[in-house]
Amino acid sequence: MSHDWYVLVRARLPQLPADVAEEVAQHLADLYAEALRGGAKPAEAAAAAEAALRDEAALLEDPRSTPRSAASGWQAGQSHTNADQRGGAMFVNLRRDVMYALRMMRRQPGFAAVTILTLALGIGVNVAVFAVMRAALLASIPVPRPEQLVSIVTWTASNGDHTDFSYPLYVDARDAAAPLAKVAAYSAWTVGVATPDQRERVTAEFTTSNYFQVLGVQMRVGPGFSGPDERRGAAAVAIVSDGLWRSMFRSDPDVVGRSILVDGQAVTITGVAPASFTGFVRGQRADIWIPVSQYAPLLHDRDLLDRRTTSWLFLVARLDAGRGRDQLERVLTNALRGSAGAEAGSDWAVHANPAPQGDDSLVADLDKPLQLLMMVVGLILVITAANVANLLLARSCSRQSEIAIRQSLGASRGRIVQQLIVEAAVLAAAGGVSALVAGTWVARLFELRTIGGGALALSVRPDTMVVAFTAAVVVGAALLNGLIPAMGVRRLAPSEVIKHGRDGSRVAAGRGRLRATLTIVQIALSLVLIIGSGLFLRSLARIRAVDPSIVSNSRIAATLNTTLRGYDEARGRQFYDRVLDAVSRQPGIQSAALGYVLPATPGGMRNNLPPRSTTPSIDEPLEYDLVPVSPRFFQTTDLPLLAGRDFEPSDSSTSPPVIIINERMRARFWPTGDAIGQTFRAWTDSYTVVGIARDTKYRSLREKPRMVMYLPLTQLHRDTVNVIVKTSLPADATTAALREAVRGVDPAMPLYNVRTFAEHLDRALYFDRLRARLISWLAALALALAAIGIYGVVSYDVTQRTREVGIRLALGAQRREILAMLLGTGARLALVGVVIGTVLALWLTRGVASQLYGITPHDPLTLAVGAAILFAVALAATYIPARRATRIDPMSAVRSE
Amino acid sequence: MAPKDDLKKGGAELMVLAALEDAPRHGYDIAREIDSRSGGVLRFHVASLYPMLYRLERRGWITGRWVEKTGQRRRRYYRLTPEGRRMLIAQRSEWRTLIEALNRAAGLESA
Repeated sequence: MSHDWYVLVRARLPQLPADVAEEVAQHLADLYAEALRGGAKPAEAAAAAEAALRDEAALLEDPRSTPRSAASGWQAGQSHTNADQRGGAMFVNLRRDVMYALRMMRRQPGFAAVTILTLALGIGVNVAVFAVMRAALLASIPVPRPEQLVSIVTWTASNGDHTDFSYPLYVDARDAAAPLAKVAAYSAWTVGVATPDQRERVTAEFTTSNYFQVLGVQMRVGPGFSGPDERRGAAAVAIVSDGLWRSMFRSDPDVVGRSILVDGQAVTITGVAPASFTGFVRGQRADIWIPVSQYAPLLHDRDLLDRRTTSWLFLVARLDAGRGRDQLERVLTNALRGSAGAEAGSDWAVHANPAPQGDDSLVADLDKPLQLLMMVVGLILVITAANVANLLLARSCSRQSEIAIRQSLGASRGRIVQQLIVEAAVLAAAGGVSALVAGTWVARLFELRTIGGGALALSVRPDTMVVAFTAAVVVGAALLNGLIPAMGVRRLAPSEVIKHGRDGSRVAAGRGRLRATLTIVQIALSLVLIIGSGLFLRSLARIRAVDPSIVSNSRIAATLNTTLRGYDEARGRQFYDRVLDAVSRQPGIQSAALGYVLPATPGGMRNNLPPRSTTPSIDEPLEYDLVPVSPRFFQTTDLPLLAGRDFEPSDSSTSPPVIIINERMRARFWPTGDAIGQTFRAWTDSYTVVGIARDTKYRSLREKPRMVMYLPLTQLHRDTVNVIVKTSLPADATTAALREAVRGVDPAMPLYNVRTFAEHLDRALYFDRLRARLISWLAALALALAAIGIYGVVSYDVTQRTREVGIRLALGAQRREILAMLLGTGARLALVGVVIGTVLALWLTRGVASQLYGITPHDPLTLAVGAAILFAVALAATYIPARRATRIDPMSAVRSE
Repeated sequence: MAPKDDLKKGGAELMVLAALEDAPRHGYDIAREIDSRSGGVLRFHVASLYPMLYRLERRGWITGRWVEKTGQRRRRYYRLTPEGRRMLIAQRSEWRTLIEALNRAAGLESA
């Protein structure tokens, strides 16, 4: 042999193992010999053989020592990848994978639709809740540098923050803060606005004239307020919102200088606020802004600006650049300590709370319910993802042969996993886009109310944060949905698939286990939600059951505010008498009364007394509510008097002061004896107890028993009262009768907040109802998804076992036994899921204990009912495919393999 | 995923397995066999062939054994293992499915 090919190979590829080199050398020798035989000259033959070593580097990657995935790089194109090329290849692959995923979607539009819809649902509820949460709690108000804004409040160790200020105290704060910050004040009120052809009730913000300047809001039209506008006696001016400008002035560019009636008083418009700005109070849409000095004329309360005792303004400040909150707090605490008067003790301070989100007083209560909802929809997302993963897994089973071919063709596991993830990502992205559109749309329908029952005006929109949140959820869903089926693929060693055939039982078993696990996850999480919704529903039922007299459709209440008509006290008293008289004479009214507050209503009057300041004397600080009412209040509200008498017309402003106390107050002051006829003294006031009323709920249905003292309205006049009637007529007839009666006394007196006690209670329970209802819906959704999951797994199981079932039937098994056997599959899944779910629920619901009433998170009945519901649904979802299996023809089932 | 590279690679594996179906062969022989069976359309380079042989061996589909014949250098002969044989049958059927599908999808059979 003229060439020593072995020496050549060793020389060219010294790293090649000896035996490989020998084999390659032999190959070259064969090539050379053949070329010679074919008539080539020796030099040509040698060149041809040598040329065969062209891709010599590939030979160096000794396949026996390299992992298989690397070995797959031996062919041209993908060989010898350095990091750069690998990156490039990945990008090329990514594009191909996306194209491939889109093609798969087109090929199976039904599957794609179901998957995308499911994902859109799961992602959509998350987007909706997040968008609401962002609008309600998270987003900054649309002004420049919102982080410089602070809310100024006074603080005491015992009562915490106190938010309202009198006008003189505001002026002190503004002047003291001047070197550090600019301070403005505002206060909201509902007013009637009218142009010659239109009238509307809108929220007005009464502000200091520097309000817009402090917030940094530029007028859209007109100059806005100027300093002199705040001076007393200045001509009345107003700024209107963009919305009001459009609706009442048809976007008139010359609106400045036009006049508008505000509660009957003409004011001149000096500006239009930009559309993005609806006031500093989050959740409240202000439509008109009027300087505070003109609030007084509106209320016929001219000394409001001078009184230090009436606190009605809220303060917002913008810190000058580089100034800190603590500096401002120190300065204001020192400056205002004196002027704040009696309030100022050693534990008194002024706080400047960060307020980039505006005044959150209306929405602060929303944070807990929204956080809870966020958790719930998070669980829904996991359930949805499990469901979609199950669908994808099922499809990857039917695509097993495709994947097997590709694997045996040498596709690495990584490539297949990447492709599955890309497919899931494309689906999730499609779901996410639908979710973003649908979610924000749904979120806008979602009407939130304050605890007091007023609707919150929130601007829910898909801003960057919402979009970013959606994207994050999509990525999470894609990973979950791609990785889980990919776990199934990893079990598919090509030889295994081939060895066991297309339906290789080990592979199927592995998939089956994975699918069963996913189903168990769904069952467990659904159970958590079902138990959660059960707890909140039962809690709501308990609250409603607190006092049946409060929950009534035959009692209707409405609010009268005599200040709206500028009545003084004497005129107010007279008005109340006449209204009560007129209302009582309306047909169908069984009883009518006035009360300062309705049961289960936040607010009202309260006395806080130090120890030993009363007679009988008590050695502890005391707190009791004061409720001024008219005669027949107890009869009208069905609150029984346990002893003594009701108030009577003879209990007048000039007769000796009398009170009716509730059971708890009686038990506290006269634990042993009879209270009727006894004298109760607090400070200098002295009352005779004439009656004992049964305890009810006063401020909230959740409250612990409180002490309450009822006084005749004649002896403690209030300018706002509720008129309450007990009626045998339908609510709308009664409402009409009420309006007519009031109109008969004063045609211009507005009657508002008309509602039945049941409606009133529903408002008071707004959060409880909202939470219970939403969680129930979401739990039902979760249950449906879990049922689909179980159905899918059992159907698949049944298909897998068709032959087995056929054989069993052929061997004489009863169909009932077969059914029981298959039901067992579902029951086992359900059982495992229920056990895990119960444990999870016990653990998770601890966090909501404080939001429940009269029930603990470990309520055994709720747990048992939840588990039973889930178990029943699981069995039902099993039964349908199982029953189908028992109907198969044994012979054809056996033959079909 | 790009089926093209997979196709080439998997096709090559299938051809190697098929070449060993009826008799044990050494590397050069395998290359020639494939060359002739495909009418010269499919051709292996040294750099492609040997790594693949080792890969198939490592998977347990073929085994190689050094055989010495008098007057010649020793050669490494490869034969199908029982598993390799099963693999060949399975791959044939998968490929048949694939090719039928390709035919239908790409209209390869115009007649």
